Amino acid sequence: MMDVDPILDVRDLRVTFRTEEGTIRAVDGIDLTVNGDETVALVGESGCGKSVASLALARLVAGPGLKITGGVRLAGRDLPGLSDRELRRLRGATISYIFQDPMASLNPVKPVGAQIGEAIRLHRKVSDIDSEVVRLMKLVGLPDPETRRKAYPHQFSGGMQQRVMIAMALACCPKVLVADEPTTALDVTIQAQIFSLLAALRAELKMAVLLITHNLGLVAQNAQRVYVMYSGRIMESGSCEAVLRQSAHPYTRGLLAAVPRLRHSQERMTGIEGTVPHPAHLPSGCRFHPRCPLAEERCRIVEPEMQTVGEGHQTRCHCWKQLM
Amino acid sequence: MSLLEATDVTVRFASHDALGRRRALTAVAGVSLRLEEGERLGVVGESGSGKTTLGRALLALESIEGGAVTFQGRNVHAMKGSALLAFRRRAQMVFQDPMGSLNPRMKIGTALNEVLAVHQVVTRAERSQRVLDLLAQVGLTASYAGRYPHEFSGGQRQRVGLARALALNPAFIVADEPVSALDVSVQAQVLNLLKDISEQRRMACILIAHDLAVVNYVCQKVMVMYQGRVVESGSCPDVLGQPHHPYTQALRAAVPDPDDLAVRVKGAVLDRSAAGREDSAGCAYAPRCPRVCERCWNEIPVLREANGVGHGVACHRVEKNDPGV
Ligand SMILES: Nc1ncnc2c1ncn2[C@@H]1O[C@H](COP(=O)(O)OP(=O)(O)OP(=O)(O)O)[C@@H](O)[C@H]1O
Ligand SMILES: Nc1ncnc2c1ncn2[C@@H]1O[C@H](COP(=O)(O)OP(=O)(O)OP(=O)(O)O)[C@@H](O)[C@H]1O
Ligand code: SF4
Ligand SMILES: [Mg+2]
Ligand SMILES: [Mg+2]
Repeated sequence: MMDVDPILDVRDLRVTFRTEEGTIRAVDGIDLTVNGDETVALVGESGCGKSVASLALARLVAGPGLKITGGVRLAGRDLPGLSDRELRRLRGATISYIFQDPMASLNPVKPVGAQIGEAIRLHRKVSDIDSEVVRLMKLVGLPDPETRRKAYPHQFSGGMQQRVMIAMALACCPKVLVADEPTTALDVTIQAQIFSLLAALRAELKMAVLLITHNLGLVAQNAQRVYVMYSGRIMESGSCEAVLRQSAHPYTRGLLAAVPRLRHSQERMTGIEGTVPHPAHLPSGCRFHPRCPLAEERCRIVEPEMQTVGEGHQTRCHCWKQLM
Repeated sequence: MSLLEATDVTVRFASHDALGRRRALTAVAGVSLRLEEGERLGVVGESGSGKTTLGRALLALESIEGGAVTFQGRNVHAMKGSALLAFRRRAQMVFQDPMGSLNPRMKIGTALNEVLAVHQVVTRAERSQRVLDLLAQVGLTASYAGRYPHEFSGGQRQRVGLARALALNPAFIVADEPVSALDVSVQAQVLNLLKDISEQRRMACILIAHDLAVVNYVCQKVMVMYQGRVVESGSCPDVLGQPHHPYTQALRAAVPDPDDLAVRVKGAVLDRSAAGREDSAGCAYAPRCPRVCERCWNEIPVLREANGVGHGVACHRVEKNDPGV
């Protein structure tokens, strides 16, 4: 599975904020790789650091007392060494983002075609912007682009607005597309359309996708590999087969047991007791121990290292063998 | 006599079209349903299909233009004075964000106490004990009574919202997307709680949700809405196990399941769906429907029993006992 040269290679990425409540370790030393043609998912509960981690890749985070450390290698170049100017260029040319709420990112008083055109102009020298806009709109399945490009965002449905966002993200031909909860605001049938579009684009444009979500169903359906994050740390990683079918971490198991399934009849779901720790007051030892059904003495004291379970499958748990 | 009965409920709003002309918008169009004591009904459908409006109409929080809603045999939209007050006590609404309905400067214990005081369901002496009982029932210890709304996590807030609705011992609640903003781990706790309380108290419940699996977990019955109309209804095993309406089938197929590694989205199929006809004088689903025929554009399909008792489908293409393709 592991390619020789991943398009994105993240080593020991850390992001901290300094607030009144203390130092917030939003991302606390994560390693992550994405190969050129993969969809890789980053999952975890709200507040675990998924968005901050993904934004930190292109140094797009802002916040009080912000500090980012660690290595990010994107398309063969080390990001921390770059000047702001080079970073800006790289940002557009290799990594693009789409977010949950398209309406929040679109300008309501500007026709969508003009907005896509602007995204193109920002990153590339194209003589005929209009026909490039039409090409991109066709690419993402926006109907009747010649006339519809003059329409305003509110004249599009939520799913169509997200297609406009994807068209803008593709304007610079990115190598990596970060999709942060891209369909949370949409209905399931529209969600399915957006994901089949992303899958098609990934194959057509040879682009990698980093999918950020809390929906394990979407992970199963769309990703080849998955990273499970908890309180700023990666707890488990591996192929979807390994992590979703034979998870070696009690947190992942807990998440899986909490998803209602349509096919199963109504046996009782268990969920995970308690709530995520406050990022300024992290528990000692394993961060998951206050909520973990397997926790024992050493879990309270010693934080587990990443351990190898199988090929490409890793877990951060003292007791993982009990699960297998 | 059922606990709650709605017949042909229609709700219209004044609205404007794209050119700014005034036009009536039919948010709920001729919806009928029946709910027994302790029964749980899920209402699903895409955004704007009229779920919340229907819930509000059932609670007489929205006036209706046609049809009728009865609660224990009495027309709720005709209630006044003490009858209305009693109904308000017996039928409650739980919101997606219950904090919106709580005073941010009032401790939770005080807020619950006030609800009890206004409706005079228990004596003053019994009130504080009742508050603690309520909190215990939703899994919160006594110490939470002294906290302010912002000091609660998402799941705890939802519990507080439920405690507030339960304070008056309702016979019926409408829970509007109570878990959509929660992580799955916490969602499971809240859903279990809702189910347990409904079973223990024989409290009827309408659960509005966009997640079919959530409805399947909590409810016995389900109703699928599309643009204000019911397109399919029946027991969860019937409707979700053997969906007959093309829209329900599309919904069902679109639910991603973590066990389904096999049905990966393949790169090959690209839906660059061109928009078809926008308006239909017939079935509202016609512009999106893969099985559309000429009749669909001209005639509104009515809900008919299609697959055994109580399983209704509103589709011209569905013959009795034949879900089609
Ligand atoms: N600008 C900021 N200043 C201070 N703290 C921040 C800032 N941005 C994020 N955080 C904190 O960092 C942590 C991680 O936040 P992040 O937005 O990455 O979570 P997430 O996993 O994306 O959650 P969600 O699923 O809700 O989107 C949270 O505890 C959050 O409160
Ligand atoms: N007070 C109102 N005035 C005018 N139109 C309204 C009002 N309330 C709702 N509507 C319209 O009625 C229709 C149904 O809305 P409703 O909120 O019931 O849908 P819903 O199914 O609950 O959607 P969602 O899943 O987004 O909550 C929508 O077109 C909405 O814009
Ligand atoms: S290390 Fe201990 S507390 Fe942490 S997940 Fe494993 S068993 Fe649970
Ligand atoms: Mg986020
Ligand atoms: Mg609603």
